[in-house]
Amino acid sequence: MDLDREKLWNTALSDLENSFSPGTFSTWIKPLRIREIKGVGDDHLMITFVCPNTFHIRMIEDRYYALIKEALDRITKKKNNLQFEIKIINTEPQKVVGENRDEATITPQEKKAVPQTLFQSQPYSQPIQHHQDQVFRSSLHRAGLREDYTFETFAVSTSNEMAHAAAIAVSQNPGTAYNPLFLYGGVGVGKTHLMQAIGNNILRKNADTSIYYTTGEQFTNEIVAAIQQKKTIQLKQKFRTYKILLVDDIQFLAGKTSVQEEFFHTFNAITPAGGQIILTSDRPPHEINPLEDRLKSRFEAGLIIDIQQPTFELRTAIILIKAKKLGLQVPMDLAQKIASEVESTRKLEGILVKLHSEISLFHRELTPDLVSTMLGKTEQTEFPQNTIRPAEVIKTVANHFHVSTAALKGPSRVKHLVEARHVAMYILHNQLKVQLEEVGGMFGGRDHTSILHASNKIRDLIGTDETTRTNVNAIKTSLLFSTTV
Amino acid sequence: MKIKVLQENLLRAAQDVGRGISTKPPLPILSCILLETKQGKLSLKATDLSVGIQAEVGCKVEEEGIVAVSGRTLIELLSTFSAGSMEIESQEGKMVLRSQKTMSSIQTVDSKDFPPFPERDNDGVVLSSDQFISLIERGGVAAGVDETRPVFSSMLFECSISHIAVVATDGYRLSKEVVDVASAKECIALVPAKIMREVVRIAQKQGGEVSMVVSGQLGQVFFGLKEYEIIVRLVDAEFPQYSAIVPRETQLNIQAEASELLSAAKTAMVFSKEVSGIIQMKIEKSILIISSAAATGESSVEVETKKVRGVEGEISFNGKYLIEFLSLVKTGEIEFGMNESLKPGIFTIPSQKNFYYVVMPFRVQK
Repeated sequence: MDLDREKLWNTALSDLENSFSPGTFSTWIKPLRIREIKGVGDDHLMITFVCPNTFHIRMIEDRYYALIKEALDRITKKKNNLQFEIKIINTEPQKVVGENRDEATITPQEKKAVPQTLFQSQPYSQPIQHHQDQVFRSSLHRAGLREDYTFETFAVSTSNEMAHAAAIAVSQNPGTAYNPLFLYGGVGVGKTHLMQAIGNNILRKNADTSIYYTTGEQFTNEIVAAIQQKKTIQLKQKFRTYKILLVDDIQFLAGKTSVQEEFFHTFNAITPAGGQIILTSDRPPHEINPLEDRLKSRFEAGLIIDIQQPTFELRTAIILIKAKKLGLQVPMDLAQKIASEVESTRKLEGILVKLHSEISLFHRELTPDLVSTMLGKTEQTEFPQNTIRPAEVIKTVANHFHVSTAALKGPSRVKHLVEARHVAMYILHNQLKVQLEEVGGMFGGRDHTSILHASNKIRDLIGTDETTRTNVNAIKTSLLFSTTV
Repeated sequence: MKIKVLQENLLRAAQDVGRGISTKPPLPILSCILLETKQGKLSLKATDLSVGIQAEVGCKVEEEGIVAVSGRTLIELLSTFSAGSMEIESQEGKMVLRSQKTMSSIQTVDSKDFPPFPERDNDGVVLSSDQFISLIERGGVAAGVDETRPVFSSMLFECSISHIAVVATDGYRLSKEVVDVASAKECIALVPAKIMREVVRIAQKQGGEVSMVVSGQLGQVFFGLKEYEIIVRLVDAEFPQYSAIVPRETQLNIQAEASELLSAAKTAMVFSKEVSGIIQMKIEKSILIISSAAATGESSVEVETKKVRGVEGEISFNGKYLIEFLSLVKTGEIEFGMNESLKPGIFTIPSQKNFYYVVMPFRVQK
């Protein structure tokens, strides 16, 4: 929703910019923010704006309402009601919490004369000062967290919105919201990013929080080392004092009984004390084997969320975010091109790094051609053309779509049959490089142009449609599998 | 619009209102002063959208009207006019100012573009201008000037049913003044210190009563003086919970004459400028020694004190903070209380329990 609001308003702003003088635009229109969009019936929207101060409200309601409404009506294709409000400032008397919360305490420093401040912890609403920034960085470092893994750099779509929402909730109320939080999913779906973002957010609020990020493997190594050096007691104490424990790739604990036992005790020490535990894994707890039942049940007691492979749109957004980080200006169409051809997030990052080095080292320009050559270089998985027989393809496709081979080859134009038939034609022509006429012959003497059409259609759909791509990939995998076995 | 007005009154109002104009207005209209006839008076308004200032001037209205002109030009022009009656008339696209011998005209800006001022939505409190000035000058003395840290360059108003308090801090010292005035509702408001000093300046000239309305709903605070109304955007931040750092009990207390202490502090300040303003206060028996030392020289002054409690102690802090406090008090007894040399010290006035000033000491290594 956040993205939607921002997107809508940004679009409206670029539209409105043309209707005002630059001064008027930047004084009255630009500082507005959409706070809420509510649907009223089918074709009405109620949009609530937050204004920076009272002067804006009356000025806008009196003079600019109509223009803003028109722009929004054009963009949303709906009738909009606009509401303006300002951020209400709390004027309730403060309640004193705790007796000596802000008591000035002295930190030893080596300088000759140090001006001491009255307030140790300063309110968050101030701009973070340089010093605080350093404190934040050093605490990130201490916790083993990466600075760039934050919620701001995390793109959200349907495949991971649940995980994202849960992560935000945990970062706001660590120890109470969901404990433990268990995130699982395949490689490159953003498990580690989300987990680190939680830690990042907690530290940003309070740099003194004791957070520790580790991986399942590192945890194991530390325990082994401690046993060797006879320092298990110190290690136990170290782990049990953390308020927030982040363990990445917990599945590495599978089969390591004593490590599991140590983790179990750590878990039991942290959670009752109000600490938060966050775990990631490549599979759900019940599939981590062998894992002690008491650990399994503890994992399952919290919130378990799986993160799906990123969709096409999400991949595009990821490309844009990562490109921005590299200082690369990737236009939307190129980003979509890359997203349509590359599925793995890690590979996306690799391609962007390659592009970046091409551009910065060889001074090449970012053109569709350059992107194509880059993409070409990464496609190594050739489809073994000679080992797969066309009949096998047709059978596999038919199986996948739960239709009979006869129906697939037959003349019927029922929708799901047509789809399956097109996929089969695509694989035969595009992947197996079977001649168009030959393919036509396999499907009851269809014209070669029909085959070409079908093949092109599926090729385009793969770039944009999630289900088609999953279908084609699944069929390709099962074909490859059948030939290798 | 056609009016007759006294040059000296109009100039004073324009200068005061002109302080509401930002130095770099983003829009031409925000560099303007809006002149409007209102029930036999002329109202002048200017705003930079975070502060709005309005003033009223008595005049003879011959024809009602509203007009906006560049504030800077208006003030500059008016200050060259001689005192006495003058005439202002708005015509198509310009405003004509006529004095005995001078005639000038200023190009006008569309007054419809001028942002309307918010209006008070509750009654608030009324206090005398003396109470108000004392609140801001003493309660607000510790406010800093660094506007990038809003909490430390603001004043906190605490209104309760029996009294109003103003608290300010720059992170190294804290001041609080309380006056007994009944307020209709309990509320707090954080207001930028810079504009409050401006309001005090106007209050000093105007005298009379000051009304104050805090509206969280509008995010504004209104200050009404005789002929002025100042509207200020509230600071959206949380003031630190200061009560915990105010020393409640002090082991060592002394009383001394403010003027004597001030001159001693000024002597010490001569050398302390080189060492970030540090001066040292040493209390031995009934003598207070104020000293400072730098590479270029050192000084120490003894001040007679009346010991109230405790034996001896030593504390160092920024001499500037001490001088600012003493300049406010001017004459009479003051009291200083401290615990350890690294814990905050507190200055009070024994005869006026409604004010205190807390200073965080320097940590000096020998």
